[in-house]
Amino acid sequence: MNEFIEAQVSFGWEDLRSSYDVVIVGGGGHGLSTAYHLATRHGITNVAVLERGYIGSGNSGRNTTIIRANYGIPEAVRFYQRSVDLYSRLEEETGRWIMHDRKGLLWLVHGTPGTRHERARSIVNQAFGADTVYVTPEEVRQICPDVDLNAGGGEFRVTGGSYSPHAATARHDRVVWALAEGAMKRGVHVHQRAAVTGLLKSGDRVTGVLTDRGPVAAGVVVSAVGGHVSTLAAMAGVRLPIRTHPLQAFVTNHYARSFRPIVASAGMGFYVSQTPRGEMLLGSAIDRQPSYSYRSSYEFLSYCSLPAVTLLPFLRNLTILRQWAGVCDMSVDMSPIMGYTGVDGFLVTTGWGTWGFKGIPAGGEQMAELIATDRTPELIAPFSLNRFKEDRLLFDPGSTGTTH
Amino acid sequence: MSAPERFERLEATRIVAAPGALDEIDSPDGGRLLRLAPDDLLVLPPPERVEVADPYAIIEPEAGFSAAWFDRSELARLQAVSGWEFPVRCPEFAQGHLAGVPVKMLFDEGGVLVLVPAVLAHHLEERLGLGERAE
Amino acid sequence: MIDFEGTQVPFEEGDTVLTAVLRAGLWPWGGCLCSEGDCPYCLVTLEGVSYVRACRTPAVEGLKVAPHPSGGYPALPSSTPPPTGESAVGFEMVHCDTVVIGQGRSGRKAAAEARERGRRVVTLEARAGREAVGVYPGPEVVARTRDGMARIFSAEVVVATGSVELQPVCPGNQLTGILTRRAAERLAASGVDLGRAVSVGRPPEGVDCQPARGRLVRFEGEGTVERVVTVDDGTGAERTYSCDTAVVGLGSGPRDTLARMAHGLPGASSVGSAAGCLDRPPVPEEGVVCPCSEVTADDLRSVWNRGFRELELIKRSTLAGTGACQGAVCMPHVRSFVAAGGQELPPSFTARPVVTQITMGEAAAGWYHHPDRRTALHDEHLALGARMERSGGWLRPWTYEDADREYWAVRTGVSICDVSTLGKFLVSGPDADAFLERIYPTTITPLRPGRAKYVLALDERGYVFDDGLVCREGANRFLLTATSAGAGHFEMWLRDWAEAWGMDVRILDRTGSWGAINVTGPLSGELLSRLGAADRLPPFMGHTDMEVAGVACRVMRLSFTGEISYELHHQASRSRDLWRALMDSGADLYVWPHGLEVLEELRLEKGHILVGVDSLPDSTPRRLGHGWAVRMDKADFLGRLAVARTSRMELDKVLVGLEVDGDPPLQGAILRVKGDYAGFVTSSTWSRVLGRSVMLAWLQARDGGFGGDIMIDGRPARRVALPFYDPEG
Ligand SMILES: Cc1cc2nc3c(=O)[nH]c(=O)nc-3n(C[C@H](O)[C@H](O)[C@H](O)COP(=O)(O)OP(=O)(O)OC[C@H]3O[C@@H](n4cnc5c(N)ncnc54)[C@H](O)[C@@H]3O)c2cc1C
Repeated sequence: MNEFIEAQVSFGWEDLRSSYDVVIVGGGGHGLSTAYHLATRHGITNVAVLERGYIGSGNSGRNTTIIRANYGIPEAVRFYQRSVDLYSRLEEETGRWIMHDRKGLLWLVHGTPGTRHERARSIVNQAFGADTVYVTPEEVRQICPDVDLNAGGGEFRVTGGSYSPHAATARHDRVVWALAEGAMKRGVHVHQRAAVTGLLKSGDRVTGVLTDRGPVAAGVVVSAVGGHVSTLAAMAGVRLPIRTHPLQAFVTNHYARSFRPIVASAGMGFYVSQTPRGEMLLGSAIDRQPSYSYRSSYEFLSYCSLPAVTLLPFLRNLTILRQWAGVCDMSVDMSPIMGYTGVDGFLVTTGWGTWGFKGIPAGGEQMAELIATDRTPELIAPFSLNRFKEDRLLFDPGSTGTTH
Repeated sequence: MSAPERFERLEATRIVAAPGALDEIDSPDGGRLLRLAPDDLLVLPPPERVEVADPYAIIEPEAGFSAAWFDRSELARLQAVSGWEFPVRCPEFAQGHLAGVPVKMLFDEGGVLVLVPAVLAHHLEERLGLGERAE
Repeated sequence: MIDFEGTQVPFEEGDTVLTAVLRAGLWPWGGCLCSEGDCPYCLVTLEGVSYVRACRTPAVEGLKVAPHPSGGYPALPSSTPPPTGESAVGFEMVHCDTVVIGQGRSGRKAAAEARERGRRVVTLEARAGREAVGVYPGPEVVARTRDGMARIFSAEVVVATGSVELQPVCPGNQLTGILTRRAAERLAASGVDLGRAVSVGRPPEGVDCQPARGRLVRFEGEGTVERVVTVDDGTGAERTYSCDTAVVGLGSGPRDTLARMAHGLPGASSVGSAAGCLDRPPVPEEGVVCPCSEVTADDLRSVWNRGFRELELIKRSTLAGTGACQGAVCMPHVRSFVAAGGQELPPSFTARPVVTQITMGEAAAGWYHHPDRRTALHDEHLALGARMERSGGWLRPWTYEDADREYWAVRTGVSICDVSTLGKFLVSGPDADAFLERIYPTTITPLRPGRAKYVLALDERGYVFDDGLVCREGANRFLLTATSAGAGHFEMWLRDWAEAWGMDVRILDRTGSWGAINVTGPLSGELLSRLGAADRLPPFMGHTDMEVAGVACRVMRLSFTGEISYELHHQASRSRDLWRALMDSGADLYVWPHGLEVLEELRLEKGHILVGVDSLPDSTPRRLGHGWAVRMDKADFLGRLAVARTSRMELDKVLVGLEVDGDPPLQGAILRVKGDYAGFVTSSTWSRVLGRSVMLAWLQARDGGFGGDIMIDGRPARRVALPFYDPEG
């Protein structure tokens, strides 16, 4: 018996019905969070979540679990701060241990342009409710003594950074399960091994889905299929400004827990944290080539390890245990897309790319409100698909290129 | 000791022209033609003059590369930092990366001439450990 | 001798740490040892590296070995940086036709066959210190050898990794003194005294031991196995066998992690036992199933009853199979458990690299930091005491540690700046005019030879991604410039469009071949005339070819700094001569170079935007206040459709010039109008010449307009027309 064995959550699987008020395609964090909030906030429970594999089998069970609001544009800071707040209450609300741990994030820079950038980040963060502060190299040393401030013999000298005390991690699977169980307890159906293969339409309206277990009618269909969204949206006749890219990560073996913050360097191209079990978890930027491949590459291990051991020399002797990949729905402006699509009865929550784990609670909360009220809530209005038509993009590449 | 100590800036002539016109250019005496792309030719050393049957050809002195000669005995060492396999036939011209730096390589019986963008030459020197043995 | 936790342990030729330690009568590890690198039981910490398998580590003189902590994880190593001069991890890329992983019987056969076919064969064998780490697309096999890391590129990959013996799952399976059948054979052969050995299942060969009859039920003992208990399934009667060592021969399954990783890659195959079937073990009933994560049979049942009814969900909810042995021990048993729930034996979970645990230091071997480019003047800058910074992929002088001197040299005397990093491209061809007309949003054709024009580069969405100059050299030939950061991408972009449009043009990137030095300041003409350029200097926005200090130059007259400036483009091989001539001849004019820091101030005073700093990824020319650089009366240019569409929309934000008294607000400082967010500062500086702070900022529309008093950091800001400095030029 280890202390991490799931001993709280219990699922009650039901048979698939032929009709629901709301059908959510995709049993990842966003699909389940939408269902959870429909049930808990709006009493809407005639809802099915259809998952073609097992719940959490997509990116929600593959990510590096970083939760933060230190974005670079007001709309994003506000939205993610809401999610950060909801995350910190999720254990209390669901009664389930999601291993939420507020450990803080150090975002390091190596030169004057970077220093200016992180100062700017802390300004917009503070203005919109996130507690990010600019830190000097000396403060960096106090927060994380392991950082070699003179990294690479000075080539990657740390000139400062930003520190976000609010940043946290949580166990990805447990977030998925807590939301799934919470929704199921209130009557929502979650179906595993139920793949959506087509959409039912009546005129221009989407009226349900075709699954490998038969047709299912729906008042509203919500696409929450992660990296596979382009195919599903195409069935509805919706074109999305999304490209799918793999993103990789790796963990080392287990070590006694002592490394506190999340440390990231966009300039050097990696980020690292220690999991509750003691593995060091590392990641970097997406693979450049768009692809649906889940294969790992050795180059990834190399290009992620080199900067990591340069900035944090103690990592050098840690042994790598396992690497993996997920495929990410990258929107062109690196911000999510939530809400109406222009096709009646068909909503999306997508464009979660490499940054969507942190958005699970707020994304679900807001999508549920939109479905329940048939109005786009103010917090996510900027994130509508319409922004691409209206030329109101939410570019924020400096906030999520390397650290997710 | 067959390894060079450093890369030296190379003098050459660069010709960008219609592919057909480049096909017709003859190797200068004792010189070399490196076809970088169908429309792109590097001539070593810079010829006195060169005729190109393309009125729009761009013919320019080229100062963007540094070069060093490695003897045959050094090939294995270079191959060990190359993700692509060196050609077996000679002479042969190839382009790729060595130790993560983009290079052009002209293989000959006696060894290989390595061309590297001059702005990156110091990295390749360092990565190949050139000059270290001389110190 | 090796030092095992303070005990001196002798060893013989061919010993591993495992054989040496066991022969010395120590047995510090619990669980059923496999001696083949699969189980997680013989882990040790070696020279600061934990999770090393003793059975895979050759014993060498003076080796310091510490056992893995029991009931806990090793501490993170200390944070001291590596001592300098420490030998780096070896690294090699290898090219061959066939890699055979595993040199057992089938692996040797596969290698021999491949050699007969004339293939160049590389073989890997963990026992011989050549361990495969993973199989990757390519195919590429990564291996760790005693010389370091090897990346092996090969057309064929043959996986011949053999089989893994099944581990016992029953009470007492974590006691010390249990061996698999093959481990017993190997250890006995290397002289380890097994004492009184009892075997269950298939007995080992060549080992003196007593076979126990019946099915294994449990091991008993205090810390160490003392008794093996079996049951006769016919009668239900238990039998107990006393022993010092228990040996289990419970069958085996394919050692197929690499085979599964290779599956589906072209050129990959597996042979022998690695391609064989699993002897399905009985459904685990009691005892530890996954030793790495300490998961018992009870735990499996518990999560099953909670609804976790798939292999992946069981793995994730118990963490079985996610520890140091990556499921080698537990997976057959967990699969059997899932199958007992009425399902077929599920396939193993996805095979993920790495199968041999390498350190991050090893993984980093053979990789390099992204190389910064250096101009031909790099050493000159260092000699002048420059502090270098990365900028747009280049290392550039930030300051020469005296910003005042740099600044005033420009404004009152003469200064030089290394701008070799500018993107420089030649375009020639019958379609050159037509091509550039289509590339740029402004008119090109009327441009006369010897003249230059400022241009924006737009993408298809009508967003500005770069800016620069177009200079006409002749009837069908142009020089284009692009920003330093954009230069790398620019040639590809030009070529892509030339090809897409079928334009007959030649394109040549001169960025690396040409150096460029900007000579700027009221005395710049004076300095140049001393170097032989007196009467032929070009007019503003003009360019002339001439010699300066004996160096052939293209001299362009511009003004990015706000002072008269001559940009000298020349062969990079002559950069140093030119630079030194300028410095030497200008000594009495107090010529002094300036770096990027001061350049930013200068250009900001002059109201010039820096694309990428002041612009946003969605900056249309209109938003940037650069509508003048777009000619909508042109029939076609890149981004025209988008510009036409967006220009009909209400303007939502504009880049504006602002001034405040006192210190400059930081980049990113927030603009407020009536207390509401109204944008942010993109660049700012204290203007030495104006005596106030000037900045560029994004201002958002409110109620359809841009009015209202702007506050920054509680201070009123004045919106002013650009440029801030010397509006008359
Ligand atoms: C390596 C990696 C690291 C990351 N790190 C972070 C991080 O640190 N912080 C962060 O905030 N984000 C991170 N992310 C991003 C984050 O994981 C995702 O954005 C987030 O999980 C998206 O959730 P989702 O519910 O939209 O998609 P998913 O979790 O992918 O769920 C989509 C589900 O839809 C199912 N599905 C697909 N098609 C169909 C169909 N036709 N029928 C039925 N079901 C279907 C899939 O099986 C899947 O389960 C990372 C991602 C990766 C890959």
